[in-house]
Amino acid sequence: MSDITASHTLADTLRTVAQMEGHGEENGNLFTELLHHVYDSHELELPFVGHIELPRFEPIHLGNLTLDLSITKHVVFLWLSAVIVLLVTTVAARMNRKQTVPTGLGNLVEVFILYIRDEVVIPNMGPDGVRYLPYLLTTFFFILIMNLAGLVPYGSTATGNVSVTGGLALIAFIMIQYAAIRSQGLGHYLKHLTGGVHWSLWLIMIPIEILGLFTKPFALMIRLFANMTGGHIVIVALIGLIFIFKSYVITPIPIAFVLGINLLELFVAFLQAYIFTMLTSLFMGLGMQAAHEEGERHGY
Amino acid sequence: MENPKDQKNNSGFSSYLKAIRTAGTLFGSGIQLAASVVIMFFIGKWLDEQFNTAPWLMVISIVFGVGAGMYNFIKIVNKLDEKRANDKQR
Repeated sequence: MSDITASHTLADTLRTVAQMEGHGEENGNLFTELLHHVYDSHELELPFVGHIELPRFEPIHLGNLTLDLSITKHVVFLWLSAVIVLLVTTVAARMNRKQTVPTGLGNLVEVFILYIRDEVVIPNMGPDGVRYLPYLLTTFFFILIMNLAGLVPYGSTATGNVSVTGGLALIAFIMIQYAAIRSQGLGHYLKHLTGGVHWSLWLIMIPIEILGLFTKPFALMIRLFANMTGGHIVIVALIGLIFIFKSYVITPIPIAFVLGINLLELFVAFLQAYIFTMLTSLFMGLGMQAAHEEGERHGY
Repeated sequence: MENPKDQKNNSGFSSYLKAIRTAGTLFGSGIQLAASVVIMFFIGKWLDEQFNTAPWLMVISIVFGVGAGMYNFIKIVNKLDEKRANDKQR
């Protein structure tokens, strides 16, 4: 339901901006400038320092592909999040090793780890799934910190970039296939791709099954990207209202809404990290579960 | 390792998370249904460009994508049903 109202707000705001375009140019410009905060850019904004131009590299040509490997704002926050995850978890692990009852940061991290293990991994994948716990925990904390980085002033959400979520989904894809092959064996894995039908239908069945393998991580990629970008655009649209109406009287209303949406974003940051982890473990679990079914059917 | 089911508390938030866990794949399956159509659309468009057969390969791939999406959707729902039945038996 919130999605409907959100898209309506955005559409209305954009329409108003389009109408204002004729009257005063600076309104539209202000709005587009605000919108730039959502997207990736070659500049980094810092408190007290102002804008920092990030290095641009010449695009690399690999055959038909052109890769622009410049360091952008999202890349900076991606690295920053990785460093934060590394530091926080290392410090927490050190703290927990010293004391029997975890306190402070160690306790906080342990709550998340136990939750993921007991409520996500074991119900979805069974006790065998604990083997993949390190990967799933890394995904969870990495996505969580990236999502939260966008809510800090001057911050930016790296998960609001489809390439970043694409990379995460690619890793998830590899892990899902790895888990399935590992527990079923390559032969069973390939047999599952035929969908268990008569060989004359294999020509149709195999492409369908292979497409099904790819749509799962694709859905993961789109969901995370859309949720993170959507929330930020709503906030921009609401703040943009102040500049569109050009009046102090209207100010409290957008601010109140932005505050509400910001709190919602805080929740969504956790929820999306959780859902990404949970769905990855569920897909891995479905691949692993197939092996057990097969075993029961043959009476092992 | 303690059994997580022994220490279950039914406070509002944890039952909400439980609901998310149960409905989790269904969040995804809608997007998956759309994704298979979209992926097949781009594959078909690319194939059309390769063989100069616009728009036929695209149309065929979209129809294939819709069919495959439905098949995979039904398959995952069936699998979840099975899994839930198994969990109940235990």
